[in-house]
Amino acid sequence: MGVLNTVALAALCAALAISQALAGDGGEMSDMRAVLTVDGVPGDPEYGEYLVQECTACHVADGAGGVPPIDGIAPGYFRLAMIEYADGTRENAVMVSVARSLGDEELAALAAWFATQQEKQD
Amino acid sequence: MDLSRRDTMTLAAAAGAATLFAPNVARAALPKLVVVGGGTGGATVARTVAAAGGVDVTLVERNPVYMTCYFSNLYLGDHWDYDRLAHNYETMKARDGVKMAMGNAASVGDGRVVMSDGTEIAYDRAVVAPGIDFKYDMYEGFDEHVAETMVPHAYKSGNQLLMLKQQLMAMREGGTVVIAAPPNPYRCPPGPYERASMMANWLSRNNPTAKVLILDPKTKHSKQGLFVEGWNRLYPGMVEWVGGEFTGGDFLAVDAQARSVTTADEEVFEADVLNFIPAQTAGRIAIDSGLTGDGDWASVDPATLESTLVPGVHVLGDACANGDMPKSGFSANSQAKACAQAVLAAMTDRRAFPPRFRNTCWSLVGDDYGIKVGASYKAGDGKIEKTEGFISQVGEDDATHAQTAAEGIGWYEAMTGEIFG
Ligand SMILES: Cc1cc2nc3c(=O)[nH]c(=O)nc-3n(C[C@H](O)[C@H](O)[C@H](O)COP(=O)(O)OP(=O)(O)OC[C@H]3O[C@@H](n4cnc5c(N)ncnc54)[C@H](O)[C@@H]3O)c2cc1C
Ligand code: HEC
Repeated sequence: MGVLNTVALAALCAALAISQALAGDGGEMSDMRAVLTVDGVPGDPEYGEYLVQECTACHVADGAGGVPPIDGIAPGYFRLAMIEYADGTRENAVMVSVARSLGDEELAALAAWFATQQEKQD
Repeated sequence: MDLSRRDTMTLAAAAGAATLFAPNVARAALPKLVVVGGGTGGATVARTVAAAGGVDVTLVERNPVYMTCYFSNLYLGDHWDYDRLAHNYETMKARDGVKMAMGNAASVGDGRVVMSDGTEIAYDRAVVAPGIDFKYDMYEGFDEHVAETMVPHAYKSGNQLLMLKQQLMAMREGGTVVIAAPPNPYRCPPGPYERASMMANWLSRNNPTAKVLILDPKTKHSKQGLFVEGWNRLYPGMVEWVGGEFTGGDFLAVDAQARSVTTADEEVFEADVLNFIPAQTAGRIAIDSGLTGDGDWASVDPATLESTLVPGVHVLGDACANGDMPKSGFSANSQAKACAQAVLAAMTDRRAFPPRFRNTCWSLVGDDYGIKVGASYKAGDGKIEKTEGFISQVGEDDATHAQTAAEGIGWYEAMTGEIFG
């Protein structure tokens, strides 16, 4: 199997795990781990705090104009949305480019960062 | 969410770790960063480093108010008020603890910034982000005085932008605006063509028999097919572009009284309103401080934006030789964030992360009619390299154009809010 297929399969598996986590029934911890970890290693929120600076060039809390807010976004929803941009299910060219520039480690780091923000809100 | 209590604690601890690096009162003196130029790039670096803490940040800026060039064309088209382009440094001072040093800097180097009045500001590390200056001496009859009084370039916001708008509004019925576009590389590749669009937009409502003629030293330009599609649809017969094949690829002279411009082919074009945008260089202070070497732009390490000629001084935004990135506000903001984390890693015990670069340029062609181009970049071998890009497609529907226009406005509000509060 080619590298691309492996990557696609991995993404699909991740998507499935995440949609299960999103569905909320059970809310298994293993599902949330798929969101916040990569290869079992937890995402690094400090890295996420740096990465999110790229997002805040366009995203703002009150979601001005044509850019929706992502403050306080649920980590699972976030990971799924990014997978959908990367695979073209969601088509906005700007976000497709953003999503495709982020690897699993970056997505886990961002998810971990969003999780810390959620903790603060709760 | 069903995080176990233990996981919650780990996450909270990790989040707390980031604030461990906040200013330490016990430490005698914090390392000093001095940033010259409080535009998009410089202000981003200053506030990002100051907000992270652990560094004493001074921002040197000669103007109390920063007028963005981006979206200045919307002012020309009557879509935005002039005041909407204005930003100040109050939030940066209050929220992020950036110290402001108002005044003109003359040079940077050897651990100090020398101001034009002779005072000096010491630094451990410096960032220079002065934007652009112009190569006036390439053209007969055109200099800063002419630009300030009769033939605006309006390629820095401020009085010249106001003058250009007044000239547009006062133009005789059926008159011709000539925009002389600059040669590469220059600030905002789609800028002159968005300007033509927004002038045509205003004229189509107020002076519908007028014309907009773009004279270009270049044989092609940014988002060309998309602009032409928009002009044909929205302003049929009003906007004409004359490329480098017909201008000889350069301009020789400007006659301010006659409002005419002479091309390299020695053809003279007369205008009712002349917007002459000259060839560009890095802002003067970068040249005077030896940061540009023999060239027009400061060469930098693509990962840290540190000068390859003057150690300890970083150059970013329009003034640096930015590899594959266009000179844009978005790029300046992106480079500033990469630079901020490199500076923090060098000056504090913060970790360094891999630099990330991105650009998107939205242009407004008409009411609710936007187009965009953008890309991701990485620190490559000796320059910032493009990794993947996208561009609006010819033939997009109205809803897509409207969404793109709205996105651009969303970006403006988000980025200026992030920087200036
Ligand atoms: C018509 C037009 C449209 C544009 N549209 C867009 C757009 O839609 N999107 C986009 O991303 N970009 C756009 N741009 C480009 C954008 O404006 C620039 O790329 C951006 O401002 C570059 O940022 P900078 O920090 O390098 O320089 P600047 O923003 O120019 O900031 C430089 C600052 O340094 C100060 N300064 C300079 N020298 C000194 C000194 N010696 N002492 C003290 N202070 C000094 C200046 O006063 C200024 O505040 C447009 C530009 C134009 C002209
Ligand atoms: C260049 C501007 C830009 C940047 C940079 C950007 N975004 Fe976006 N983002 C958008 C736009 C525009 C949309 C709306 C797209 C659409 O309609 O699908 C969006 C949508 C999203 C969504 C979907 C929101 C929802 O409610 O479904 C998420 C999640 C998101 N972005 C996350 C991010 C993250 C994380 C980053 C940084 C790594 C980022 N974005 C960087 C412009 C941007």
